[in-house]
Amino acid sequence: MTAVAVVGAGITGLACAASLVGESEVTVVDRIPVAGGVHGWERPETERLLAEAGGARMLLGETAIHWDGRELMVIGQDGARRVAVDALVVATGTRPLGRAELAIEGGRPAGVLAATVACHLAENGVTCGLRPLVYGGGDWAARAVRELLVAGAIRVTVVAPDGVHTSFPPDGRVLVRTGLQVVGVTGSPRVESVRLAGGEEIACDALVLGHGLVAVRNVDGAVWAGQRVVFAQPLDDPASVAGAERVGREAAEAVRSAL
Amino acid sequence: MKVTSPIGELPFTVQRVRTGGEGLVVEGELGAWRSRIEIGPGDVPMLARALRGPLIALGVGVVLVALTRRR
Repeated sequence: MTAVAVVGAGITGLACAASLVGESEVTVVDRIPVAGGVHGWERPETERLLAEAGGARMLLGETAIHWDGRELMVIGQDGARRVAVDALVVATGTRPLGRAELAIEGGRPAGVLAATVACHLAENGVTCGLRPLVYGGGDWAARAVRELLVAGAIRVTVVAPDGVHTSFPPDGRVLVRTGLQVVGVTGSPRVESVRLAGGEEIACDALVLGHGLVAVRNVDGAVWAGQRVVFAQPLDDPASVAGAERVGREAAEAVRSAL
Repeated sequence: MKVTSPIGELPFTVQRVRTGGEGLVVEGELGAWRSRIEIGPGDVPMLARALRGPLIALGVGVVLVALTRRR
């Protein structure tokens, strides 16, 4: 029987594990001590897929560090361990594009934050800015707007270059502008404004980056395709449980073909 | 039980409560992580302060129920 490791116990990773269990020895690794990923451990879909993947070995709360093509090194509460497998599935989710990836020019003032970081800070009561500008029109941007308002923002400007793909809070403090591209940031020591393509400047005291998605690939040795690695990281925005599950099932098919 | 943490909201499952160390030990799991809460004598004033409001409300409730039944 072949052995497969799946890094990521979100919907995608669980769906992949559920498809392979029974025909392969499946090990699922996730650095968070619960399954479900961004969709959450309490969702019925998470519970259903966990039950389907019941024969898999679950290493939750453990972090996959390195893949050498034969073994996956994992570090957890009991120290390091090596898991020998024939193939690795990377289902570690996505993140919004960073400033360099978005080619936003200018200095490095304080107040430029990834939407993931802004949400984390705002959820913990940190006011990232009173007049932040949120860049993006998808899930992360909308979530950042909600959290920033709760954390005390008095006005949020949303610049959505590709339009709005999800629902933003219907709030008088939120101004949404579409079809515009942020190309620069100014201010020192803190953000004072952003510059749009065409030259317009918008005043703000924080720039929150939530535009676009890129796959998170943080397992050393499994950054590029090959070495019996299959990537299962849906880039849909807004994300859907059905889409995540479909990508997981497709990854299982790719593993079967590779082995 | 749920615990809010920097990595999100996690389930906390109590598996055992025992005496040990300097007082009471609550053993359980935070998701898949083995976890332990140790409560010693030095924690009593803090717990008393935190529980003052609910305990006063409980006491008032008990007195009101007793008075109502007496009538």
